[in-house]
Amino acid sequence: MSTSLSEFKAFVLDQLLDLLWRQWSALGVAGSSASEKRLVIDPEPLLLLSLTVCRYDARLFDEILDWLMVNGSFLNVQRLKNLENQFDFQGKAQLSAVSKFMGKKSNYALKWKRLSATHSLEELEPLFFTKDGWPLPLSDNTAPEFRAHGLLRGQIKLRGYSQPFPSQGMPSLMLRLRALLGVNSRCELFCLLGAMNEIQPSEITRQTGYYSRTVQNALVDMTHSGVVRVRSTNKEKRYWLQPGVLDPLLRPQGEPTPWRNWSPLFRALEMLWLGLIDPKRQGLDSLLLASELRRLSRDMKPLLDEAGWGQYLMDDKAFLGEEYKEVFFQDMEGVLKRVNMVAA
Amino acid sequence: MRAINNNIYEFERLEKALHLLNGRLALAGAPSYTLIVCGGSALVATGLVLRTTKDVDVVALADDEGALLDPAPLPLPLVAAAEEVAEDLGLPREWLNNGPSSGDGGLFRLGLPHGFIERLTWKTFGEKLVVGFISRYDQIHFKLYAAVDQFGGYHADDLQALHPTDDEILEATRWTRTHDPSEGYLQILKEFFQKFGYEHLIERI
Repeated sequence: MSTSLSEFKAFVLDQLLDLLWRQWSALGVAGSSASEKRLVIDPEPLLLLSLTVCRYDARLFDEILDWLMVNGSFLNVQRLKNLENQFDFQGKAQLSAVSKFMGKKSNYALKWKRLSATHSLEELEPLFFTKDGWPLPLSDNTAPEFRAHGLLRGQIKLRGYSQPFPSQGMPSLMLRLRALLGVNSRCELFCLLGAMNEIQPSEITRQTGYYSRTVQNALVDMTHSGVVRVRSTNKEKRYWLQPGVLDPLLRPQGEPTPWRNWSPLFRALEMLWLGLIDPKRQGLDSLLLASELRRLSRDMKPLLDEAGWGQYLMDDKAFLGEEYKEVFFQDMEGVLKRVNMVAA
Repeated sequence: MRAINNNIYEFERLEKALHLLNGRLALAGAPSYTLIVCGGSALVATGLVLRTTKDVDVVALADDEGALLDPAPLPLPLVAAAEEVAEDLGLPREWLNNGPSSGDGGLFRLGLPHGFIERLTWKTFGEKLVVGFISRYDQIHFKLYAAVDQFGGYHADDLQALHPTDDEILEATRWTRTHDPSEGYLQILKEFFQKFGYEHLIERI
């Protein structure tokens, strides 16, 4: 029996929220969800995806705010901005509103204020929706930090249950490195160096969202430590970690650091969700819906390729007309289940 | 029976492509278009000839008042939507084309038969797309012109499948000669008539 768009949207939302709860729980967000145990979590793309998807789970949205109050100083605001621009994440107004809130409430107000004045929606709209897509009822007393950016929500009442991120384990490695080294590019560089036998600066630039000059300069400096080594090939230098020195931190099981290129994957998943709930795609006949899903798939494909997930999509050219709808559903179901499997 | 089934299949395929084209135009927020279509698609759509076709040949566009417009070049939003339909249905990239009227030597600029608009068969494919399929009478004109030009081929097959009367062939001949009054064309026309069974009309050209 064929799957309806409504059924598929519900499935995708459940999968995305599972993934987000799992990752945030592993970083200290209060909740009953099973948490990520194995992979390094990249907090900036995680926040960027969450700002879009958690409009459909107000509880997680506010738990993330709660977590930011405790751990926000370890987020890299400049990198948030870079990734938002580089991948065109769509939660721009939400990020500005969250930044405004953090600028008022947190102990690290100044760095968040740099993001807060950036984006606002042209017309006011509700921030939160039910899973079925209906706006959550609003009280008269809306939160000014969000209203200023075109988003209506009730006053923010945080529970205060969030914990500092764990000081052990791979999921919080990036944040632990930031606690150790400061909030700078070297933390991502160490994660990537730990994940690969050797790596070129261009690849690091692509995966981290830092400027190429920033990456180059940091790598050059790091080679003076004797911990990071370099060799020159024809076109570019290749860097690697001196074995043994940082292994207890980066490769505690003797395996490469379990880093994933989350940014393009999360942007692709954001595109998937926003693509499925796009009002223009509701109520289409199956041929036109399949046509739209083909466009959506082609938009997502380069990002999934970049994240290393593109091979799980079937060649859409082999499936004509309405036939492609089910293929798209199967492809995305496969990607989401695999993402949740590797994240588990 | 098989030919009829094939034609139903071809007609459904054509309708599907044009319905999808309408949908793609609507989703893109494109303007509405009225296409005047000749060639194999019009033959299939009007049930005149049972054959396969992958092209929709646009001989003209029309505005909201019904006045015909030059289809060269085709509007970009229409081309973009047609390319998406091609991807969706595995059609040739230029399945929707203005081939018959693509330039100065094309049918639109040289002039269409008198009374052309009144003979069109209209079909609406949605809010963004209306198609006028040309009539049998005009098909005979266009097919004769193309068949003489190519000295046979599938245009000649189409022409014969339309079973034109002698008068229709002669009227079409007169129209084609307004497009090409040269002696050379007249000579080829006579040779065509000789070879394709219209030799008894040569004296009446």
